[in-house]
Amino acid sequence: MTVSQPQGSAGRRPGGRLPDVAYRLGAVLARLGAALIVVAMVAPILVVFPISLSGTRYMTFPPTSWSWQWYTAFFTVPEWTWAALYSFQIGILSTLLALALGIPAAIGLSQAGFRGKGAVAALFVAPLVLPLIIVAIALYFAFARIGLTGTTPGLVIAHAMLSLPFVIVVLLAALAQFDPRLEKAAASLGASRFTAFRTVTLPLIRPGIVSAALLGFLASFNEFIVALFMVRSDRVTLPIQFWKGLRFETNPTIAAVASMLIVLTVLSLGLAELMRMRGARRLRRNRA
Amino acid sequence: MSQAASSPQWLPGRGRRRFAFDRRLGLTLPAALFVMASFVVPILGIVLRSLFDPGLTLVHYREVLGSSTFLPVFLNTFRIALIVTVITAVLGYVLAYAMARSRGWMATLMLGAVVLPLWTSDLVRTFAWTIVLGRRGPLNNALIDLGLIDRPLSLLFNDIAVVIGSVHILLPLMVLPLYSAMRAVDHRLVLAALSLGASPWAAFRDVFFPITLPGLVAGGVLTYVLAVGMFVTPAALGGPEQTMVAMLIESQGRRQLDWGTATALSTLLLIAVIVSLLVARGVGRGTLVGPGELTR
Repeated sequence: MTVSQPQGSAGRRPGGRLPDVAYRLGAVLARLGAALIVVAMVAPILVVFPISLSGTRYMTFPPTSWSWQWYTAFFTVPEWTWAALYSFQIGILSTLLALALGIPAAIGLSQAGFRGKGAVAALFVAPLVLPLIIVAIALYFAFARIGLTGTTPGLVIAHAMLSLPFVIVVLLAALAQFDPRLEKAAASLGASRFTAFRTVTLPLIRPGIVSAALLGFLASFNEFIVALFMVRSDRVTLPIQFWKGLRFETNPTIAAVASMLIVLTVLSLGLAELMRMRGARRLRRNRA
Repeated sequence: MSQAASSPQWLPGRGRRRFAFDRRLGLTLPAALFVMASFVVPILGIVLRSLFDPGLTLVHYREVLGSSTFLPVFLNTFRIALIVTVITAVLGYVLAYAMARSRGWMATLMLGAVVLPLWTSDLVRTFAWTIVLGRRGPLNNALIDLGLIDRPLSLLFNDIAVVIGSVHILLPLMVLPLYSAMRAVDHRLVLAALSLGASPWAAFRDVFFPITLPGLVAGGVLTYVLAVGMFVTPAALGGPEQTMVAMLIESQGRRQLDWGTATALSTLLLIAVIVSLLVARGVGRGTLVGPGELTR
């Protein structure tokens, strides 16, 4: 058997054989497939926008007439507005709690390997790899014993626990670019550990913190199944109200809510990404 | 020169053996305790609860395993989860490959098409599918306009609707670990295989694919585990035939208040999930969710 020499442009592909043609065809098909998958991922989500502007209560696509009435309905029906406000409240409180716990944890985890690091990291991501229904049942049961089921603090704790992995993962990515010698430099100039953190580390990772907060907030704001078990029936979150609409009184109001949720998601993700890039730039500039 | 200023105790490298271990672990301690109290202890709580009524007993498990309703639901759940995982793996591999091989705005566009759905509420995505597959939806309307059918097909409330919806929801979680595994591949290995005379297909099969296999396993397990626990999608897109375990747990626990059955079902689901995770750990030996994979 002769070994074929690399030939053709830049010697990347030994050309001219049948399998190569098949491979190239495969590559073209894979690219076409990827394009179709991208469309299939995004297009169904976009369908809710025209439906939300429907002039009738039937969800025909495309709608036959147009109106803003379903957006008006959202803002005038108290069940919807209360649910949205409650979701904002839970989202903000649980994100603050997740940040308070997650910032020190991420700083600890970002440092070189120490005993117990793997176990702690696994503990933090564990809630993400278990079906949420198990978490929901478990929390309902445990929190009922100490009177937290059906209360705002109970839901805040549950959502903080679920947001924590996202917060820690984002902060770890930000801290990976942080040069620890900067803190060392501050210390050598006489700064206490806390002062060094507050005046050197914190400003540099602040965009990372904002980014982590946005994703933690989204995780809480969209969470459904745990909230379903944790809320009182007269004080529900937006996803639960959405679920009621989806199951029992389907009209385009939920399409209007869905549209606004998508816009909120896009804005939060865009802002989070902007912050991440800004943070990365800031950290690059400040490498000792 | 004062001692305190010139050699702070907390710097790494000084007194490391005695202090550094405590401090680094100590920083993670509040969060670790919080997760222990709000996650680990409650999970152990339901496992215990499933074994008591009020004394130690296996009656709930006998009831679950002996009943004619629970077993079919379990089998149905694992069947649907398996189908969803296989389809997601195939589609995810193709998409991740295309992403890993693109640069510039194409790569950004594809990443956006994965990350945006990931962070969009699964309720919203499921609702979107009820429209797309609905009797007055774009799919039926298009088929009617093309003259392929006379009356709208009922595309909802069956296996296919549940599988489509679940694949859509879980695909990003398959693509992201795969994408990072593919990005990490040193492409010179593939070029080396090519220069030694391997056909491009052989180079892919014998070099590229084995290197990215841990990513495929990691994504596959995550997909499978989350598919097994699906609630919203089978409840909204499926019919009675598509009832899955999570729906059963919800109705037993929250609506029937039969906590013995609900906790026994949860424990069985938990065992199934842990077994899958352990099997995958043996096969994949990769981290399940590495930093960055969830957001980027």
